[in-house]
Amino acid sequence: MPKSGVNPFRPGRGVLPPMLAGRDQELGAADRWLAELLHGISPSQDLLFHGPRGNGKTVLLLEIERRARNRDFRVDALPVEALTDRAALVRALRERAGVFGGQVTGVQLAGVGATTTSRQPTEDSEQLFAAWLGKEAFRPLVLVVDEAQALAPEAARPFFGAVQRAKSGPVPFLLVCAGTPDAPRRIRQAGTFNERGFHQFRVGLLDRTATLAALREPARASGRPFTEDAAEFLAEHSQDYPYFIQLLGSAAWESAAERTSEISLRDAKTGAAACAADIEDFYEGRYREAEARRVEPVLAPLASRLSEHGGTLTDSQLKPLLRRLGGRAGDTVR
Amino acid sequence: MPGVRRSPFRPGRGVLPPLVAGRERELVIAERLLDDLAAGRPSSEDLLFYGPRGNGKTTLLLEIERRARERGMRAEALLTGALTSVERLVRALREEAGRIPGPAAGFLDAGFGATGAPAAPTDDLRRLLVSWTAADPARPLVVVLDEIHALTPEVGRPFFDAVRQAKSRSTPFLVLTAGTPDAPRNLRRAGVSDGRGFRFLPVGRLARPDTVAALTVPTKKSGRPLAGDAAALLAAESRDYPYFVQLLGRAAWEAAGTDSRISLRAAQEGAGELREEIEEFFYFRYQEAEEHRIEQVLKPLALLFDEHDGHLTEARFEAFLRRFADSDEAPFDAPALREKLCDLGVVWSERPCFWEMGIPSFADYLLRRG
Repeated sequence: MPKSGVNPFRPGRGVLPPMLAGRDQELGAADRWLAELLHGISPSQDLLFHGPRGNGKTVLLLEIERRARNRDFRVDALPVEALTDRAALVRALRERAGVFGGQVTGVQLAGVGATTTSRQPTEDSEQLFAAWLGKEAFRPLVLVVDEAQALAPEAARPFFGAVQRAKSGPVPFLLVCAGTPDAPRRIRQAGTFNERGFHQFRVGLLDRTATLAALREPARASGRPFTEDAAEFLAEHSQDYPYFIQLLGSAAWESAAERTSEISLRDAKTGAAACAADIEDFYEGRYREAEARRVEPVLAPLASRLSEHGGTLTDSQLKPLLRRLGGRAGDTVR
Repeated sequence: MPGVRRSPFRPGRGVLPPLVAGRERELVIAERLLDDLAAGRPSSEDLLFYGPRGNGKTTLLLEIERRARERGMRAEALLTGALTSVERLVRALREEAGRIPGPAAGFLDAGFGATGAPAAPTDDLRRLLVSWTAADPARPLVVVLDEIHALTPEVGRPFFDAVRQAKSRSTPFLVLTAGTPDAPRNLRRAGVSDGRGFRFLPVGRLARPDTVAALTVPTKKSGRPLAGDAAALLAAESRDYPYFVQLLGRAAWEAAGTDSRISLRAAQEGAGELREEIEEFFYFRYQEAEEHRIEQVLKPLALLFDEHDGHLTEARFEAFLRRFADSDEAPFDAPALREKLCDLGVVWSERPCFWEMGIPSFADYLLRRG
């Protein structure tokens, strides 16, 4: 929790907020998985968090990393670029495994039980991954991959193969992945049924109780609580979207500034007005992304259809709509 | 975590479960082949386990690897990537052979495959296999190839030719493979047939008593037994599909919290909590079908299976495929459609000329789907 008198809200990309509200289920599972590592066992499934941007997936990764470090586990991140190109994967694994000048240095290979003497630098992902794990065989490894939707299935295939094999090895590890809603599909394309290797969580909007807690608790801890109506107003205005909660909370906190000991409805409204431009910019950014991918003509009709159906569409409603809007490229639009 | 015991169940991809139930026949066959190796005799045959994903083929490989190592043998896996080209296979074998100190390393130092006249692929592969197996003659080798369905004839043919040749002139070794239902077809295209030194063993869903054992034995061992009615419920819910057995077992275990036994209520709660995850699993299967443009076939096929108690004769299945392939919008002819349905594990045939859904409850999902 933040220091008194300091704005506790942390809008930004992948920044740990003052309170991780509404993610008890995800963190509970992560704690159970980390406990398995403490017992010297690799959990049979790894973790995958997927959902739209701004819902706090990276934040979840950061929190799990923090919890892992508190248990004195090794924590390392594999950039998704390493899963987009076979040579990059070999390079990334070699660096981590300590393969220099073609030698795996004094490493007991998991599941192999032999010290390598190869004269050639190995390109075998399984050996390299096992060597990486074996570098500190008594410290479990928590390995994080963010932006998993960007992986290239063919390039990532040997990595997931190596992960699967290492599950039966002697060094406990946990892979934690996060990505946009396309991540599970990409992982599956890296090997059909690959997704069985993951316990998956959809990371969506918060429920209203969690949104209110995410606003109230940090403000209270910082010595400047929200009035009830201010918190309710901001929660409604945020649409329970975690990024907006931080943005609006921060703006309301700043609006109240030094002059009051609590944040009133007026402060909340002033704050909301002050960050209206930021929110517009945010939407503009999403629109530009859609333009870059040439799907912007689909957006307005899609929004209209979603609005007609109370904000959700079934798969069988979405598919014909995309086919109609995107023509033969309907699936690509999706 | 105080008061919370660890679940013995291990749902996942190719992870050894607490009990390999219902695979006694396969394990007895494998043990006999390991006996051959242990006695210094060439194994009478190599093995292929094939079946839809999630039935425990990789688990069987892991269990046999474990047993081989327990007997002091080497069990080494070649990754699927090695099967994509002869060059990569040669490189992988060279690495494997080079890892063992001794004759193989010297052999490689001499620049095998890099100097002199280029050798034919089969020669390269044979010499590498001989070198690999002979490198440590006291510890016979079990070569493990999972995902063998990825094998193309261009790689498979020289590889299995090399295996046949190496077997007659090297330290005995065993080739242990597993793959999806299309693996037998791909092996046949690579010149390997069932019964001619290679045994194809189907790995389907479990028999009900084995499902119950897979649920009750590990829980009992872990000190938190599963009530009889709870086991029956979970077994029925799993439809004897091994991956679901592990998922449901874990869910019920977790729903039981700190209770000393897993009651029917905990089993119901666990199964209920898992429903969304299982729906998602099926949704992925549907997406795969969409990507292969065969999703239109799924629901009518599920209906047909439903009408015939979950099984179709070859004649009925063929008639269905033809009817579908003859429609104006069909993107494939009947043989191509059959191949795609098999490759994706939508259908499979554990017994000749007798078809069933690869995952039994996928049919229920398709019938529920709007």
